[in-house]
Amino acid sequence: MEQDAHPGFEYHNLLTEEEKKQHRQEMREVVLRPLRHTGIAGKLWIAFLVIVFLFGCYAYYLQLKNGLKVTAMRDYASWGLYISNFVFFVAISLVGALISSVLRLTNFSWYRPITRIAEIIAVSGIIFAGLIIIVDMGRPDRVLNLFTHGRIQSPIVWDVIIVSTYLVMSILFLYFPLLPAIAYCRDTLTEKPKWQRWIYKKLALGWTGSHTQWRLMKKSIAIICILIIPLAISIHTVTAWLFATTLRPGWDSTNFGPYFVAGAFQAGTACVIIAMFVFRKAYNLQKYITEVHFNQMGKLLVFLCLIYAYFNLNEYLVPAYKMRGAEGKLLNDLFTGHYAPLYWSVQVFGMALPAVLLLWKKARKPLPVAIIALAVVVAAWFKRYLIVTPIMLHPYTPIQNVPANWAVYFPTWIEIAIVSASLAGVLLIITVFSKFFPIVSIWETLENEGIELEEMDNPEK
Amino acid sequence: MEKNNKEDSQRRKFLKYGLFAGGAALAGLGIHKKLFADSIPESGQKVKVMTADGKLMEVDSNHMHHMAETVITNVQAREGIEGKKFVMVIDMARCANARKCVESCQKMHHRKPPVEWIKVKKMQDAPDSSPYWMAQPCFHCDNPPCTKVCPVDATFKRKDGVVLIDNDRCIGCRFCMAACPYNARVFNWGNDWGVASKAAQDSASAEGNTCANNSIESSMQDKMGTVSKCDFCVDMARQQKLPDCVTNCPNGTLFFGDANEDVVTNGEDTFRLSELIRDRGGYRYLEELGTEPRVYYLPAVERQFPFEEDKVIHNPVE
Amino acid sequence: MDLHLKGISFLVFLLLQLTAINMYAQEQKQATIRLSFLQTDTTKTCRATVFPDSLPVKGTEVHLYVKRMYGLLTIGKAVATDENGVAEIKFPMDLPGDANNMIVVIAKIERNEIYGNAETQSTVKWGAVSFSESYNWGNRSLSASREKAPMLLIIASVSIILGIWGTILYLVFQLFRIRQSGRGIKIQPGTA
Repeated sequence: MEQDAHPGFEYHNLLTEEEKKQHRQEMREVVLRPLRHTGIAGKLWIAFLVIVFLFGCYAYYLQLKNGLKVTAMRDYASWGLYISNFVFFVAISLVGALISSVLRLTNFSWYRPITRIAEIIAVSGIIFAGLIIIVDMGRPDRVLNLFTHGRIQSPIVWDVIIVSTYLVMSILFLYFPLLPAIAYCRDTLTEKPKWQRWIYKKLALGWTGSHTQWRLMKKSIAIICILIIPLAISIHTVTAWLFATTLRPGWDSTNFGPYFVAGAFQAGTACVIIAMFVFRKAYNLQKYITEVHFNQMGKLLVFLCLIYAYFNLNEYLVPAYKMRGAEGKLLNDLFTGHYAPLYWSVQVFGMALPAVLLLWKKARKPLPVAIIALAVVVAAWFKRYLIVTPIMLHPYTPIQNVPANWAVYFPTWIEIAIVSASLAGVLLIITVFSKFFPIVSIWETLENEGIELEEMDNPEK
Repeated sequence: MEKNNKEDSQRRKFLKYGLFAGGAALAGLGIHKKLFADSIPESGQKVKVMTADGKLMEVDSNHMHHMAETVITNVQAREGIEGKKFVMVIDMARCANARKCVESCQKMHHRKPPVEWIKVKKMQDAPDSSPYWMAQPCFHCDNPPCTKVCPVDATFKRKDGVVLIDNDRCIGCRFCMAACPYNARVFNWGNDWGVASKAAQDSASAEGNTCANNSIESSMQDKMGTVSKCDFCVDMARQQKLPDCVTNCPNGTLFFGDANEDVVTNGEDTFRLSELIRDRGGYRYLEELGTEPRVYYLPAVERQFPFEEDKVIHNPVE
Repeated sequence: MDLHLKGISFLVFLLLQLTAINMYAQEQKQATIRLSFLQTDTTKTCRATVFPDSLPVKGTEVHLYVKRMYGLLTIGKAVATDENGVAEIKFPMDLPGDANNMIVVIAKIERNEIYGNAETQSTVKWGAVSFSESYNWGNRSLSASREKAPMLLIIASVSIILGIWGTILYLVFQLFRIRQSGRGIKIQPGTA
C-alpha cells in the first residue's frame, strides 16, 4: 500500500480503495506509454521535422554568407516575414500564462490535464521567437552589443529583457509541476538508456514526495502563477510597442498593446486545442483529455475570438471612419485592394466564423473544434504578416526611383525555408518533450479527478 | 526551534550565495565596460597629431588611417563640432530635377545606384495642385525618432545637430528604418551592396572626393548588414567646405549653413537664415509629426523652371 | 629742319610724359579703407572711410560683409562715399556672433574703375544673439545616448528588473531547497 503523504490529495469516496489504485495504475501506464514506445507515425513525424529544420539551417547559412539581400526585404519593406513570425511566436507563448496561471488561480479545475501542453507550447514558442529575431539581424555577430551597449530607452531592449525574463519564468513554470513526474520516470523507466536515466535523476532533484517538498513546490507555483500574468501581458505589449512607438500610419495606434494581447490569447488557445487533439489521438489519452475539455476550450475560444473581434473593430473601423491620408490608402488596400483577399479570409476564417460556429455544442466535439482551431492558428499567422509588411509599403513619402522589386514584398524561398524551420523547431521541441516527460500532469489530474470531472457531464462511459 | 535554525541557515546560505553572485556580476560588468568602451579597439600606442582646428593631441594609433588627413576619435565624433548648429534650406522654386545632388553624393561617398542618401522625389500635395520636385536628405531632426529606438546606441545626435551612425556598432535590426517617417535611411543588404566599383572609387578619389577623416563622420565605413544615411558631410564642415550636394546643384537649390550664425549659402548666394525662411515662407516637411527637422523647404512658387516630368526611369534594377 | 625736329621731339616728350603720368597715376590707384563702428541704443552703423594716399575720396562704392563659416554675408546695399570719403552702412541689430559675441566685419571696394579692389577687416563685439547650446544636447532624454536616459525610465526599469529577477533567483533557490530536503530520506515509489 503506497504512502500518499502529500497534502491536497482528495479522493471521491464512491470508488473503493482497490478501484482507486487500479485507476491510478492505469493512468500512469497510459500516460507513460509514449515515453516507452514510439510508433512508426511518431518516427516519421520527427524525421520530417528534423529534415525541415535542417533545410532551414542551410538556408540560414546562405543568408549569413550573402547577407540579407537573399530575402525579399529592401529599403521600404525592411521588416518582413521574420518579424511577423517573431510576433506570432511571442503571441502563442502567452497561452502558458493563460491556461496554467489564470485558470489555476480561478479554480477552473478542468484545465489540469492540459497545463503541461500549454506550458511547453509557451516555452518552445518563446525560444524560437528569440532565435528568429537573431535571424532577422543584419549583424548577428554583434548581438552582444545589446548587452554591452544597450540603451534602456529602446523598445527592442525592453523586448529583449522581457523575453528572456519570460523564458526563464516559463521554464520554471514548466519545471516545478514536472518534478513528481520526473521522479516517477526515474523510478519506473528502468529500461531506458543510461544517459536518459541520468537526466531524470539529475532533474528530479531527489524528489521523494515528502511533505516539505510538496509544500515548497506548491508555494513556488503559487508565486509564479501571480507573477507570470503581468509578465505575459507585458511581453506582448512591449512587442506591440515595437510598432506603436513609430510614426508610421497604420502602426501609430494607441490600441496596439491590448490588440496584440487579445490576439495572442486567442491564437495560443487555438494552438493548445490542436495540441490536445493530436496528443489525445496519438497517445490514446481519451480518458484524461476528454470531450469535456474540448467543450470547455471551445467555449473559451469563442470568448477570446469575440474579445479579439472587439479590438479589431477598434483598430480598423475607427481609422476607416476618418480615412486620414496615408492611413486611408493603407485601409483601401486592405479592404478592397491588393491585400483584400488575404485580409478578409483572415478575419472571417480566423475570427468571425470560429466565434459563430463554436456556439454550437456539436462544433465543440474534439474533431470539429480542432479543425476550427487550426483555421484560427493559420489565420493568426497571416494576420501578423498583414500587421507588419503592408504598413511598411505605405510610408508618408512616395516610393519613387527604386527598382520594381523594392516597392512590393513577396518572401523568397530562403525566408520561407527559415520560417518553416522555426515552426518545425517549435513542433520538434514539443514532440521531443512529450517523448521524455508525460504530457499530462498526472498528480494534478488525480488531485482533483474524482470530484471535478464527476460533476460535469461525463460523456465517457 | 530546530525548524527555525534550519530556516536561518537556509537564509544565510541564500544571502552568501547571493552576495557572491552579485559581486561576480559587478566584477564582470566592470571588465566588460573596460573592454567595450570604444568601438574601435585601442592598440595602446599613442601618436601625436594636429587636428583641423590646430590643436595638438595624442591619439591611439588604431584610430589612424593612412588615407586620413585628420583624426577624429569616436568620442569626438559623438560630441560634434563645438558651437555649430547645422541647418539646410532647400529652395523648391529652383529645383529642376537635375539630380546632380544625388549623383555627387553617391560619388563622394563611393556609393552607386540604387543607394541614394539624398532622394529627389516628385511631390504633389493635392490632386489638383501642381507637382514639384523635392530633394529629401536626412533631416537630422532635433527630436529624432531614429535615435530613440536604436538598441545599441549606434545612431546618435551630436551637439552640432547632426545625426550620425557608427557602422561598427550597428547590429542591423532596422528599427531606425522603421521609425523614420521620411524613409531617410538605407540598408546595406549584402556584400558590396551599393558600393561603387574600385575603378569608380579611384576616379572619384583622384578628383578629390575622398574621406576627409576616416571616422564615423566620413561615413565611408561600408559594412554589410548595417544602416547608412546622409550625414550633412560634417567631415567636410571641419574643413570649411560645403557638402557636395550643395556645391554641385546647377541651380543652387540647396543651402547649407550654421543656424548659430544665422546664415545659409549655396556656394554663390549667402542669405540670413531667419530672413530667408521668413520672407519666402519656409516650412518643414511633416511638421505635425513633431520630429523637428533641421531642413527647411521654400515652397515651389515663382519657379525658375516649369515643372517637367522625368524623361528617364531612374534605378530600374538593383 | 630744325623746327621739325624740335616739334617731333617735343611731341614725343609729351607722349612720354603722358604715359609716365599714366603709369604713375596707375601705381597710385590704391585705396585704403578705415572702418569705424558707431553704436547707439537702437542703431549700429559702420563707417567706412576711403583714403587713397591719405586723402579722402568721394563717390566710391563700398560693400560691407560679415565673415561667416562658408563665406561672406552681404550687409545692406553698397553705399558710395560722400565728399569726405565716408560711407555709412547700417548694421543689423540682431546678427549673431561667435562664442564671445565677436563679429569679423569686412569692407570692400570691388572692381572700382579707379581704385580696383581694396578691402579691410575689423573685429567688433556686436554679436547680438547669445550663443547657446542647441536644443538640449546633453540633457537626459529618450533620444539621447545610453548614459543620458531619462531618470524615471532608469529607476522604473531597474526596480522592475530587480524585483522580478530577485523573485526568479528566490524560486531557483527553492529548487535547491527541494533537492536538499530530498537527501537523507528513504526514497519511496513515486507518487508522480
